[in-house]
Amino acid sequence: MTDSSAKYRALFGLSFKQAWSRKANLSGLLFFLFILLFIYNRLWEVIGLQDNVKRLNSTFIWYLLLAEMIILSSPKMERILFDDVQSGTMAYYVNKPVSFFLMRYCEGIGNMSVSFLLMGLLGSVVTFVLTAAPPFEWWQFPLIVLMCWVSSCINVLFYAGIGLCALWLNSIRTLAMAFERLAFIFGGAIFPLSIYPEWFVDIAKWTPFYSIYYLTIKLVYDFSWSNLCEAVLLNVFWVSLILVFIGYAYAKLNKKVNVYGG
Amino acid sequence: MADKFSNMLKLFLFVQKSNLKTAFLSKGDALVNVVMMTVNNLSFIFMWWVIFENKGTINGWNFGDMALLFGVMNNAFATFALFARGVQQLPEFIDNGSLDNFLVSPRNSLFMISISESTFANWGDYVTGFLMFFVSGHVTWTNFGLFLLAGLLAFVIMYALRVILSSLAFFAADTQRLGDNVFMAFLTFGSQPASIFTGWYKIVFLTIIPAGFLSLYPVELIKEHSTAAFLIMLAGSVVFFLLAVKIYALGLRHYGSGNRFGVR
Repeated sequence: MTDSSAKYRALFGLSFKQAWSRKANLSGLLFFLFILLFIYNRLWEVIGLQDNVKRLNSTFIWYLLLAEMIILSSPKMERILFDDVQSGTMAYYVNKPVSFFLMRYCEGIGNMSVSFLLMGLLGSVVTFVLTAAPPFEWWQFPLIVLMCWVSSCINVLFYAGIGLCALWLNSIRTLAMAFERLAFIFGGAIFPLSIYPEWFVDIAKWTPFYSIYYLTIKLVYDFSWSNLCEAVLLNVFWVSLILVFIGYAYAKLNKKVNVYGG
Repeated sequence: MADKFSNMLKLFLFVQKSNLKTAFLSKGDALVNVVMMTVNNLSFIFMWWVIFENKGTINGWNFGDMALLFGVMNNAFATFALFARGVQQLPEFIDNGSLDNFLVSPRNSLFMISISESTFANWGDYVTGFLMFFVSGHVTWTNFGLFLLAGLLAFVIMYALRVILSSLAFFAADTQRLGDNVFMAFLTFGSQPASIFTGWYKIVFLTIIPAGFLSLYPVELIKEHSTAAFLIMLAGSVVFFLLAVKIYALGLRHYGSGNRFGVR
């Protein structure tokens, strides 16, 4: 058991180091994040002035920062798995002493963690400079960030699930894009769900995006232990569902590879 | 010169015809992708509709103005993704040496790279673009002409910026995602109500990231039939295009072959 987890920790570490060395990629990501913060800070500043609501930008920009940390840190997991399955690369790994899926997942988490960490550190500084006082108390912040990191791991898991759809689909590009867009809308990734009509929020509650994104990120301006527990419980529920799907798809894939080869 | 242009046009049309044929090998798949893209765009526009429903206007802009902006942006992006998307792959071609395949061709290499990739799903952007024009509340024949013109000029600026970003790969390694992210930032900047950018925000909006050419001036051009907006867009597209070609040519001089054999 210890040996087995050490292998996956090593894979995580390797991928972390590899992602860390891609300075140009990370600079582009940070540039995009800063531009987003800059634009939406201006938008909420203008709306706040227009509606005479003070510090509206502070609430929404901290919210946006955490939302983007979850979304932008995702390492295109679906494309990696899709390519592995379609090109037959997966066949090379099935006889190795590691689970192919866990190997790719740990690599994905390692990759994601670098972007998440950097965006969290530098993004917090920029957001603090843009908005001054944050809408949370500082002791809550590490807990909120940890919750968001867990959400990012779940996010990567969902995209891995999409990648495994290579079993049935010739292209997953549109499916991944639709998933991303649904996450933006139902997860309130740019504008919090609190500004949407009630009928829309009622629909969103039935989707995994509601807890993975909205409930988790909302902690930044509405922290309470009950909100935190609600987010954790709902996330556990959705993770169980996606794990059932992944287990089924992966078993089918393994069987196919064993019978037909890569 | 005219012959050269006519040959390039023939080749362009031939490639587009092939792209369409390839896409329609699986008609169902192609149509589903277009519909998904349209739904995808409309869901983004829905977010803004919610904001405008709540707030009415944002610094003088209403949902009609946003619809015009989305119309122009979607049309420009559709043109880019359908007819010139290959330029997005330029860093990859440079990094793995497959640029050589384009350089040995007797045609203009930038032209060949640009038309080397097309995503059929982006026809959905045209659907969204025209739909947005028709719901904008500014529907007249003159406005429709100006809408098409604004989309074309916005495409040239978008394309030129992408060429500049992709050409970074001539000077530094592993710049694919850097270019993608900066390009995304440019598109995101351009998808905001231009009225929120005043003072020094406006300077950034028109210079460092020239997204104002995609949002501010097209809307002014269509709504107010502003000659100034047209001239600024025209000048912007000419300047950015020439700059892009210059940077690409400069990059080519830096390029060392990948020694990869193959002809395209």
